[in-house]
Amino acid sequence: LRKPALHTVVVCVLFAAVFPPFLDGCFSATPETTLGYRDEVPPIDQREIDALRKRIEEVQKRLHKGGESQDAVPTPDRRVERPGMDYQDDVAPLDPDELEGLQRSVEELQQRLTVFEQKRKALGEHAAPAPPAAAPSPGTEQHITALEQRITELERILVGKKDEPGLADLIGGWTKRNGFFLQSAAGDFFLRFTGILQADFRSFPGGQDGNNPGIQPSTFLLQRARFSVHGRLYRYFRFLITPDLGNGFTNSPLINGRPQLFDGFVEWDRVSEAHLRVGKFKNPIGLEMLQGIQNLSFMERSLVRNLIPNRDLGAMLSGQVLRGRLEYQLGVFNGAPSANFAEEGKAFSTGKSLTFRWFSQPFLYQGPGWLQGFGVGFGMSYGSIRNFTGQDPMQTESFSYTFFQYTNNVTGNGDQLRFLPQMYWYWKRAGLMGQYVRTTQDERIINGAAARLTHDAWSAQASFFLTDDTATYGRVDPRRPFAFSKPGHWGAWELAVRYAQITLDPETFSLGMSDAGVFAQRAESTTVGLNWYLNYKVKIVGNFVHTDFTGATSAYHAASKEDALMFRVQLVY
Amino acid sequence: MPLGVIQCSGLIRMLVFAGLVCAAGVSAAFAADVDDPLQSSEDSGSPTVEDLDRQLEDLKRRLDAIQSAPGPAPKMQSPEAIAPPKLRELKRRMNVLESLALGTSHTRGLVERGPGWSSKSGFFLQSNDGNFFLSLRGYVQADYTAHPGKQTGLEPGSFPDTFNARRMRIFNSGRIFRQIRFEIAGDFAPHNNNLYNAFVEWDYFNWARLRVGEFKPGVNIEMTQSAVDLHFIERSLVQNLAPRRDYGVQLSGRFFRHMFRYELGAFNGSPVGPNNNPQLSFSGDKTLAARLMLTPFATSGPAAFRELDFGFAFTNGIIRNQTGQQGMLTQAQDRIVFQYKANVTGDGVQSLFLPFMRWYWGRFGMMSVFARRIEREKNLSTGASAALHFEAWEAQASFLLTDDQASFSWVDPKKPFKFSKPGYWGAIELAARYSELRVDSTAFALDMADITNNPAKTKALSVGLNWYLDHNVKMQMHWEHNDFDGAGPRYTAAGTLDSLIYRVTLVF
Repeated sequence: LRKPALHTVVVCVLFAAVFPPFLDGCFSATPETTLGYRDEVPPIDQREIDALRKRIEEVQKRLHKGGESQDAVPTPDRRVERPGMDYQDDVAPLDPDELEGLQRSVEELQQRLTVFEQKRKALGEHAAPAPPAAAPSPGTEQHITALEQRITELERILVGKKDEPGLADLIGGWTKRNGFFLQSAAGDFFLRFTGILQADFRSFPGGQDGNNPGIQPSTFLLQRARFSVHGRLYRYFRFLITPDLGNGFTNSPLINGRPQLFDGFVEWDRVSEAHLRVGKFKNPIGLEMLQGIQNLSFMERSLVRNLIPNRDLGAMLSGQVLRGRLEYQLGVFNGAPSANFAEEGKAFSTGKSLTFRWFSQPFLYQGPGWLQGFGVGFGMSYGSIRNFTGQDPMQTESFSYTFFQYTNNVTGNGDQLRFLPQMYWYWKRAGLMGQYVRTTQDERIINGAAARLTHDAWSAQASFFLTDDTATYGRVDPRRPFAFSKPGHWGAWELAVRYAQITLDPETFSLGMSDAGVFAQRAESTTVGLNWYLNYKVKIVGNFVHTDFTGATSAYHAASKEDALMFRVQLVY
Repeated sequence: MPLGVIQCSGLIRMLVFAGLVCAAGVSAAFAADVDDPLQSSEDSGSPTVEDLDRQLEDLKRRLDAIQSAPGPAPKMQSPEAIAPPKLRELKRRMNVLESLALGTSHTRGLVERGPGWSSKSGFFLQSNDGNFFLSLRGYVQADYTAHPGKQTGLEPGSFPDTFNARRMRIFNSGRIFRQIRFEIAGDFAPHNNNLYNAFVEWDYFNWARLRVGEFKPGVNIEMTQSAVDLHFIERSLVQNLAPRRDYGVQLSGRFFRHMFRYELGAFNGSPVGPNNNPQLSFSGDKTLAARLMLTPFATSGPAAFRELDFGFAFTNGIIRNQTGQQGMLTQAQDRIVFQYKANVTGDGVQSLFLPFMRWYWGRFGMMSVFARRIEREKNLSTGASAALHFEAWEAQASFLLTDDQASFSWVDPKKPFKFSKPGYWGAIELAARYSELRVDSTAFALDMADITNNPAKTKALSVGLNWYLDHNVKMQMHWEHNDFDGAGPRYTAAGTLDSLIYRVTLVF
């Protein structure tokens, strides 16, 4: 290790020491926290499953209360008529407000019914002087029989029988947190259908500037369109499968046109302190990379992503202790190249890569309220990369310009070490995030020079809500979701600014590992963004990105700046 | 500069883009009071707000009655002696439970709110209020193609008979917050693009829906027909000239119920052709697409013409630095009939004019489309540039042998196929189509395409039999005959091509 790397270690350790997690309440129940670690799809909410289960049980209880003598009467052959409720394209949408009003009325009615029932029960128990019972009419018995029949029928539908499961046994629907789901009655088996869709328009009003500027046409595009299946089996085995439909990253020369898998993993999460996961998933090193792409305050991740891996094949142990104030991940991976893209990541040498990340939210439960949303940590990875280039082409935020690439005959030649201190701070409307990465890697020109190269990058971002909403690392939930008919319900509006910088080792160019005439040694970008969160699921984003490039030598003749103006409509379901 | 071309100038481009978005927003704001979206839900069969209201009022009345009634009856010794008030209460509670579970004539019960299957939506999941809806659908098309007549001509080719998985698609489509529609569709067939449709649509007003993403531009009526609903194995030769799918934004809507329909969109302008994938723009220019469709007798007039539509579509854009066409194919997609040479690129305005009509009445259905495309292309080797004219048209007719209703979409048999029920044979349909494609011979004169291999004119005749077993399975047997004419004496390729294609389609 060279001195700067050691220096980084010391800084990280000091960093960690300054914010020691408080030691009380260790290993208690799973807390409700904003975790730093997020998948693209948040984990299935077990609490919500349990709530659903309770609802079913309640219905069942009420049913049993109503019909105690069900065996005597045969089930009447009453067919359940399903009114025409086909999903039709042409169905005019209902006004959500009116529906809400209706739902409120129904709930009110149900409450009144319950109160009334209780009152009635109390009266009966205290043996209040009741009016004399009316003489049973001759039709009473028939009435009872009819009622019993109806109760039996309802039970058949809701509770089910031995070989015919009732509504309560398998339920499906939609909830805000889980989206569309199917589940078994107890919630031990759970399946979610999720998806993300990003329809973009990208333009380059200022174009590219320099001695040899490129031409960037404006274009409509789909940046991401994926659907995933996410579930739980036997309660504690979680899985996620996300196929890529090919058009996701059309710019990638490596994966274009080839179907592949973005995520595919199995996780055992019986104990919140130690989840075990195997498969393909995000290498848990970077704070920004771990934030779901749909939750970013910007359209794309910063330049820092060029130095850290995206997804990789491997195994990981992760968990949270101290009621969520401390979380960690420890994984072993094939060592996918640092990349813009999610690669298949098959290992080219036997050397594997070890990743460790630590993240703490020390003031989550104690300390000043304005520090509650503060988190700090660091990630590091150490591995051996051989016979393969350790880097993919590095691109600007807009994915439209490659500003750095190793020449074809450069391969990894041994150790690769990354340090990545990171922090965020969310308080009321404001959010801050920062990360720094330093990569040290042995590279070699085949039959030529070898060197240990050190690249570094950092980014700092700030966001602020113009509306009265709460900033978060996770998904923003607007206080007043957009509704056409409700005045003042304009969703959430957020302004965001980011600065990012990446600097490549000058030796890369002096040793001829990259073309100094074409590729930049340093890129600096400033991003300004406006986010309009219509609701929990839909947002419209506008980003302006200005990137400046600096060459390693005077021979550099490629672009000196790029201006990109991008718009996005994003839907998550 | 022709009307409708979006020029490269950044400002204008931005204005047009912003204008499209604003137009939707402004027009939407104006019409908030004029067109009440709740009114048109009568024809859907789903409960209206008024119905729900009535139901609630009913519930309220009943509750009030309970509350004003005297206290409960004392506990009875035997069930036979239950007093009528107790019985009434039981009944009331029963009614509430029943309406919750089963619904009433006005509202949906739990039974209908859960996951399930319906013929229109396939397997679905939804929220309790129905505002969030996900439909999980898919289809598979398994083909067998034979070439009994082979290919004749000076240079006869041999086409091997083959099994093929033509399309294997999975759809996730639905609504969130009731008014936002989405669809993501993937194709897993070996030769196809992986991503099909992927779009988001704001669908609040019938007369103005705004859609962004990847989808079929509203241009070619035949293209708008789903691949599973085609009365033939594949679309006609016209699809060689019309856009297929593209990235872009589109405003669409309808007025006077279905009488007027329109689409207006801006797209990247991906190359047209039967097999193309949407692409990123190669130049800053975009393509405008517009379509107007009229159904004059949708609500009144002779019943025979209820489903008679006609209209026209128009696209105009500039294509540079990329070829405007991908290889044109025969209907069965087994032979390329026209292909630009690699050194030919778009060099300016491309426009398409496409009038069409369709008519479905009783057992009978017909459709006809004409397309004329003008595109400026440049041969980079010689520097020659020319506006090339392409023309194609098709006319098709179908007739149901069984007593079923002809339709633009899937024919839903009155008597779905059932082994055990005599007379239940599904629906059987005969279909015939004639189609022609003419290529500009200037393309050969300027060496933009190979004159020896590419015919100047292709004529295709299709005759087929469709057997709709039920709502989900269709079997087809079609015969395709192609005649090829060359542009000049140097044309040496085949004169005819015959294909016999069997297909099984399963939709879920």
